Amino acid sequence: MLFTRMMEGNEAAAWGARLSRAEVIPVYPITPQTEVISHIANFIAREEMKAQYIKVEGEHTAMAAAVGASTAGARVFTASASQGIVFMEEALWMPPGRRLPIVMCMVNRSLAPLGGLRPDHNDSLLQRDNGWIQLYCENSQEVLDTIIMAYRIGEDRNVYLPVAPCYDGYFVSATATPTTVPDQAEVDDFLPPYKHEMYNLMPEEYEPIPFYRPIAESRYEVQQAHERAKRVIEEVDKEYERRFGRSHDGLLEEYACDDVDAVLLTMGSMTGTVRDVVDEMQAEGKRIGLLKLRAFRPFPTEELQKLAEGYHAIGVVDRNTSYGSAGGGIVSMEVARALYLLEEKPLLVNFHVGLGGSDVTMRQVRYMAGKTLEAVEKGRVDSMVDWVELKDLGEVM
Amino acid sequence: MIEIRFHGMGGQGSVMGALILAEAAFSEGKHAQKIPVYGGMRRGGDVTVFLRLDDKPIRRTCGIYEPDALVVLDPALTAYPAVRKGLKEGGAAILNGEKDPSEIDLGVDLSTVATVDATGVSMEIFGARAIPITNTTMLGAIARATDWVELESLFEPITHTFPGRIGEMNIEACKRGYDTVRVKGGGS
Repeated sequence: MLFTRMMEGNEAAAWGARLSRAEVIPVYPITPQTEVISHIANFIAREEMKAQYIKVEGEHTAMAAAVGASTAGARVFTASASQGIVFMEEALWMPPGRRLPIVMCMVNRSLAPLGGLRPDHNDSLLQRDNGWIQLYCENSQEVLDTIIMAYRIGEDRNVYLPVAPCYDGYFVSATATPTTVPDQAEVDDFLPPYKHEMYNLMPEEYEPIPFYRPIAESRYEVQQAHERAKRVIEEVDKEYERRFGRSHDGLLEEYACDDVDAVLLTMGSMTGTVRDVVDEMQAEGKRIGLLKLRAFRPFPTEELQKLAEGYHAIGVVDRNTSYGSAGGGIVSMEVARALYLLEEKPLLVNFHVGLGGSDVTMRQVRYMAGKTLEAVEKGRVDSMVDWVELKDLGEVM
Repeated sequence: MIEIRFHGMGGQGSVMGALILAEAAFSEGKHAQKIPVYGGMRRGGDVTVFLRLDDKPIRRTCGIYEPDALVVLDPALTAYPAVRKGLKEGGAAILNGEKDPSEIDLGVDLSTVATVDATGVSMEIFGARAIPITNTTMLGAIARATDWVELESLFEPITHTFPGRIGEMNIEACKRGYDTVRVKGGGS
């Protein structure tokens, strides 16, 4: 195989599932995820992919079927978005506790009411507490690579957790960029067939309802699995780079951060725009860099702490809202908790932008970078969170 | 980097046209990126596509507010201020319409203005439709009026996108666009 061509994020996701040899695919369509499952349906119809494609009556059933198939030992892939993810919520709590390494793409799309079809991150971030690993992707290539890596991570015996590669609707899902599809044999070599060692449909010893075993114990096991997953995510990324020549920097990427005063911290498709703005501003002598948060779960607390000591301010870009929160967006609160333990903390600046799927523009990024540098200069932060889109930055469409 | 904004109506092929152009440019060794913007997928709805071409990988994923070029797939849309908005001085416009380029005024001085009767070509080749398919004719016009891609580079992605007879009709439309486009300035 091994070819490179223009490819939309959703087709790249379908290739990721195909190359990973997913065996059971329970799905229900929803914009902007639909092309993922239509490409997979085409692969199966053309006999290029061998998998059980289960059309269900709704997303909740899709996840229930995924849980069943994964429990029976199949490698499972599915994808959803927005209201679909919310609708499957009840079933989404099953795979982590049952330690089922299902992979589901969450194609980010804003939620009702007033949400359009375009992305913000509230749909996937709503799932932050249920035990799924979440990796945020920037473009088609990262989507394809991350799905293949996701099975290696989730199926690692030190992890056994479901993984959600998350990517923005439209700005990744329908955006075509040059994408390399690796050779099937090489992927097979990297990702051996799935064999679950932990779960047994017919246990040798019968155990009644475990009233004697604290539920906290199994919750703690999932938490420990997340802690171990951090190392696994880094290692799998390194091995992927050795084999395929591409790395996506594991948990967290530092971009152009030599000798900077401050960084913007981003997730998802906006990251590419921030790269361009950081390059422009550094050429103008501004000391701003970029931190791309790839893993939101597990949250890379130690890695962030290590890097944060080198900056005077972090501007967290939150493409989500958490109404009535302790302060600002969901990512900023995670960052604040991680930094709280540091003796020398950088200032924390927070922005809401790209809500309901509106574009995150170069001018907005420049504004956010400027505000973050301004905080360094003043030695303080003016407001808990800055609603960037309510500012008139002289650019509308 | 060249930043191009496509405007059209759902059903005219703006998204597919931009993708074919991106594929053609990529086959010539350029980097390309296509970002479509639309609401629900429906005929007649408004469609905007952002297309970037560059010699190096394209990273920004934002919209294009100050395009180097406009491609307008429907004659009725050219009159709207929102369509012309931000077009750069010295830029290019490739428009579907029967007017001569000398009659076009988009409010800024442009290096290239090109017009082609893509609706007429579409009627002849694909027949009368409520929403005429104008994308491949526009691509032919683009190949003539700009230095973005060679005409021949468009044929493979068109054939690949529309196999069989439909592909032949689209290549015919593309060639007709190339042959009948009227260009003021620019050109290749």
